[in-house]
Amino acid sequence: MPLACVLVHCKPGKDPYALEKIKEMKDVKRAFETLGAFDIVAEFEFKNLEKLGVAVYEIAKIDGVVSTETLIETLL
Amino acid sequence: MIQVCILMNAEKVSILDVVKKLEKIPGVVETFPTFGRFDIVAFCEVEKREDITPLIRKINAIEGVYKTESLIEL
Repeated sequence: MPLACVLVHCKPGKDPYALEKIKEMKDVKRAFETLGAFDIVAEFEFKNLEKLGVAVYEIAKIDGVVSTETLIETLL
Repeated sequence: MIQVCILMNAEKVSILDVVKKLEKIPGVVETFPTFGRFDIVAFCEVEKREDITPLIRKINAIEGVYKTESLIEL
């Protein structure tokens, strides 16, 4: 199944809460808080683009999440 | 274990070669080429903080990689 890397920006101090919520999601393989350009990184396995879209929307809805950026695996 | 997510930009022609080389680097757990602002993503795991710099240096040294962004687990 293809993979996707979701990069998340959070409001200051909201990272732990958002990370907890992300970890509860179904298809998340790994997720952690980071130092650097983004606050949280999550790796997803998804069946189709629609399911990935729903997952990213779920993340975007989490209280404290400001923005997300998704890198979808290309099957070269 | 400390997780590190490394986002890379690479010469378009050598993306596949870079991914193959990445897969051989110990510590790299998962790597795949991507659509979007970055060309390749690599999820890595290292024992301790001191291992991060050598890992990133090794990845930067791969021919074709011209930009990396490292996201180190808090």
